[in-house]
Amino acid sequence: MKAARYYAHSEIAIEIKDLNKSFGNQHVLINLNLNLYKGENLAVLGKSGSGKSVLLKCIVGLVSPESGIVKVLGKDVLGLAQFEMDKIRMKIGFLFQSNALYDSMTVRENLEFPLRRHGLKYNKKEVDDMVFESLSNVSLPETAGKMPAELSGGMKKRIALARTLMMKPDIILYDEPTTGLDPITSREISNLILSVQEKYHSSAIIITHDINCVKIVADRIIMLIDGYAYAEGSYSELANSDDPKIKSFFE
Amino acid sequence: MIISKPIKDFLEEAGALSIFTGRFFRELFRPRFEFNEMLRQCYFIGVKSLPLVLATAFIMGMVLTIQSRPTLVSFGAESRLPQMVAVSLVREIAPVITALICAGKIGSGIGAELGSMKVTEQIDAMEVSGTNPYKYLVVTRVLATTLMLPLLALVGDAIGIWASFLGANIKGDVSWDLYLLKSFDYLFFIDIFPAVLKTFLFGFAIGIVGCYKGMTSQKGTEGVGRSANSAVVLASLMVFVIDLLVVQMSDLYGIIK
Repeated sequence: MKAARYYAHSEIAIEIKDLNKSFGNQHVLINLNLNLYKGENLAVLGKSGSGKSVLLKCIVGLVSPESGIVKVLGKDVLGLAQFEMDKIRMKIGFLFQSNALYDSMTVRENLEFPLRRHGLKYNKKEVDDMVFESLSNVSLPETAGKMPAELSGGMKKRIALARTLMMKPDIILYDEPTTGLDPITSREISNLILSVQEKYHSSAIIITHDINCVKIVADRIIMLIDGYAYAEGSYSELANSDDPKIKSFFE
Repeated sequence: MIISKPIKDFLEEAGALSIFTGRFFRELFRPRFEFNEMLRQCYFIGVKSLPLVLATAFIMGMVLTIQSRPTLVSFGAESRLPQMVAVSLVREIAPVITALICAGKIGSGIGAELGSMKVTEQIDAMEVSGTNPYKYLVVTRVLATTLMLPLLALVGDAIGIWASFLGANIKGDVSWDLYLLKSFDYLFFIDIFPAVLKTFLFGFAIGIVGCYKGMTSQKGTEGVGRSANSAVVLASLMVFVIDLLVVQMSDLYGIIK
């Protein structure tokens, strides 16, 4: 289990206040409040369909909520112009649940894709170094020329993480990083999340329902039940809770 | 007012498609221009569809000749065979057959590709990494289909006329020089102009419909299949509707003689 550190005294990286989002009659997020502090790994735990992924998509502006405030690194992101939003997005890495590797491109082209942004200019040597560093971080430097279809599930996840790390983001959002992987690979990915935190001092929100992953990576846990932050605490605090709704996750 | 559900669905779909098309024109003139990606798409859409277009145009040209011959013979108008085949090929058959083949091949290809990119979050990933997916995926593909379809149709015209020459020689005996000369007897610029113009529209419709269906694909693999399928159906239908409109208009303006 991770020796959880307490980050509440450091600056706020993401601040979410009274966030509401519904699809039709289904209210997925109801007055959700959440803070992510700089440097910490925050796990958001909840059942499938409890709006966890929607929460992440609200942060990067892929989904617009009905009401509420989302501040990323001090900047309110709701209603930002495309150009401004792209600047914020440069500082956020997003690891998608389905990896979202571009099928038609090699691993290398996948990694280079985020560098296409406006106003970024690198020479070939710099790009090579960045690609190599990213792939080394996930210990797959030899895969650069392969197509995503040739990789196993765990490898795809690592490459997706490598792509996220290309821009050295301040904040990384992990959407169910261990879902669909075997227990051993899951543990490897969890350890990787931890080593990223140590190496880059990035803050992260990890959305998951995998309690083993939470145990390894989380400094703090927020339980998302019925659309709001039902409980909050360290792993040991929540694991020893008497509340049946919380207990059901830890059994 | 009560509108029955199918009518409501139809109107909603038409509205959504119109908005999607409007967005295409907005994004078209906004920098940055994804020129390399567009060339890549032109290669995939143009070059990769060429063999299929060649095969169909060849067969259509030959079959049309073989089928028309007995009728013309019975009127004693066999010498008019090249003109008749050339006019119907260039005006109607080559553009429409090429467009239908492309609606099948390219429309379903784009629908399935963008659909699977949508459901595996690749389009979201693109958006998050600062590349406008609408410009990178949609604008490039629509431009590529719009530019490539006229070229494919023109190649189809040429191959069709050549195949018709071969067809005429199965039972008759005519030289290539004479056959070509006769074919162009009744072909005027005014025949070719509306025919080429409509292939641009066909290409545009195929690209837009494929992209629209792909980008609005629903969750799951079933959704991808459905978007590929409905892209073909809608694109083929659009080809006929556009054809009807263009023919009507050229008739009204006295272009068809």
